[in-house]
Amino acid sequence: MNEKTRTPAYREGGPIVRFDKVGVTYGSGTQALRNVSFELESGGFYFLTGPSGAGKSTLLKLMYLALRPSQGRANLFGVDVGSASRDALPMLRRKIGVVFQDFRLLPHLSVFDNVAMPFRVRDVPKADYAEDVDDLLRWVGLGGRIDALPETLSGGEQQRVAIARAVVGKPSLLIADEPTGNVDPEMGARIIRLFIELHKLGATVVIATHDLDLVRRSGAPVLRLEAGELTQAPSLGSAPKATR
Amino acid sequence: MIKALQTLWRQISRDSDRALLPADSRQVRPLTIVVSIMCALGCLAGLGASAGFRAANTWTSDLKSAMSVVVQNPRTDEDLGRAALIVGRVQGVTRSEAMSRERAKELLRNYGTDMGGTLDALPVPRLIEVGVTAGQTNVKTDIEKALKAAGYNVVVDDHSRFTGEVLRTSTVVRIVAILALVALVVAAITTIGFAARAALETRREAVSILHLVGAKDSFVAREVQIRFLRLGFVAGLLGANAAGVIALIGSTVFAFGASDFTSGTPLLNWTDLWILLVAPLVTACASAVAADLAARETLRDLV
Repeated sequence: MNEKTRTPAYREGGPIVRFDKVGVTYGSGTQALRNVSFELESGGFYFLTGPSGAGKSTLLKLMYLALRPSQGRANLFGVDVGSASRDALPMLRRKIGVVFQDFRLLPHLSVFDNVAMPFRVRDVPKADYAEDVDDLLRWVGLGGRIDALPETLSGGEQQRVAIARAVVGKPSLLIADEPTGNVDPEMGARIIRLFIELHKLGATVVIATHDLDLVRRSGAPVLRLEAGELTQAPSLGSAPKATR
Repeated sequence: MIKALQTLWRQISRDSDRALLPADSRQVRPLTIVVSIMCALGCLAGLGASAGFRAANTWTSDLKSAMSVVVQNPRTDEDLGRAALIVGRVQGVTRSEAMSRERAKELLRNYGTDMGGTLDALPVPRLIEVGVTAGQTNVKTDIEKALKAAGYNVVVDDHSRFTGEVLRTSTVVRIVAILALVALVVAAITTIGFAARAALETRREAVSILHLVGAKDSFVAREVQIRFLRLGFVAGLLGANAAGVIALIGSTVFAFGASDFTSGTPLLNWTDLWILLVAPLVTACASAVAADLAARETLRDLV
């Protein structure tokens, strides 16, 4: 990868995510999260588990800045997102890569352009990222489909595009919502290996999953949500740290 | 600055199918038609104001450079001729010609009344047609003084009554045209703003994804702005062309139906071409500004 697109991962000491008594109440009055407090260390690897409707998606939305807390303080990269100005959010979001459960690809854009989106919104010239995007697409097994539109891809292929888009900018915080849910076991293992590689480069990884077997095998610390409350939180120093 | 311009150019010139927020063709066509009609009407209002201004200028200039002297009861045609010679010697007078009795009768007939033989029985006013240097003051008074000194009893008409009416009428025409232009610009900007908001609402999911991968509001607004800049330019081109054709037809019809009074003032002039040339650029810029403002306002409502 060339120098311009190789962004250094977040390596400062201390927690990269710090939630203090965070709550989220939707407009309808539904309280999705209550009194959630935890810290995620920079360079850690975490799983987020919990039954459906427990508030996992809401917690992830807070972490990828699609939502602001209704109560408490949510701190990302040292910035209080509750009081951060609107102009400050894009710079924070550029440090975060997200793999959505429903992929959220832009249907009118090719596979290449979907993956290149994080560069395009930063006005990076195509010449500076084209090779990286090509390499990454080959790595996820879509090298021959770079011009295809998402609607022509299978669910697993779309998920790989979504993953490529999330990791192409070398994010400091990688958030994945059920990233292996729609792929075969072999591709699932490759995806997890990719996350581990990114984690080794210094990225903090948070994976929401129902795959308890995967969680047990990894030995990584777990955040567990039940009915909007955190029932299990990692203690500081518990997360496997990046080796680089 | 140069980098910003390069970025803008890259965005304008890139293939539309690679646009992050593509246009909705169901919206683009009707909107282009609406904006081009507004642009055409705006151009016609501008051309109308310009033609009115030019016509008023020509007419007032013609009126200001001519006077009529009515000589009360000259004894003979020679007597009228002598008066004309006196007028010709006044400073600022370029031409002084006694009007024959026959020509004076012709003028009365031109009012369109069929008076038959009655006209011959009427006392026809004896006139001197006077040409004056435009902008020369006191000519009217000097003519009156010179003729009075020579024993003539005269009335000098400097057409100021008509000049004032022409100027008043042309001012009204210009104000109406400018108001129409302003109303059309406001309507076009409002329409574009509404369309830009609708476009963002339609693409809310795409906007949300762009935000989540780190797009600033200004980037998203620029995407919308560039699309409407293109749309405005295309609509402006269509509107200006349509206005040009309509004006040309109107001008031709006007030329065929011209009277003695209007034949000297062509409806269209080559200098009016700038209105048609500038229209697409103005429409494009107005569209872009309206879209940008509407987009930024809409984006503020999102997280």
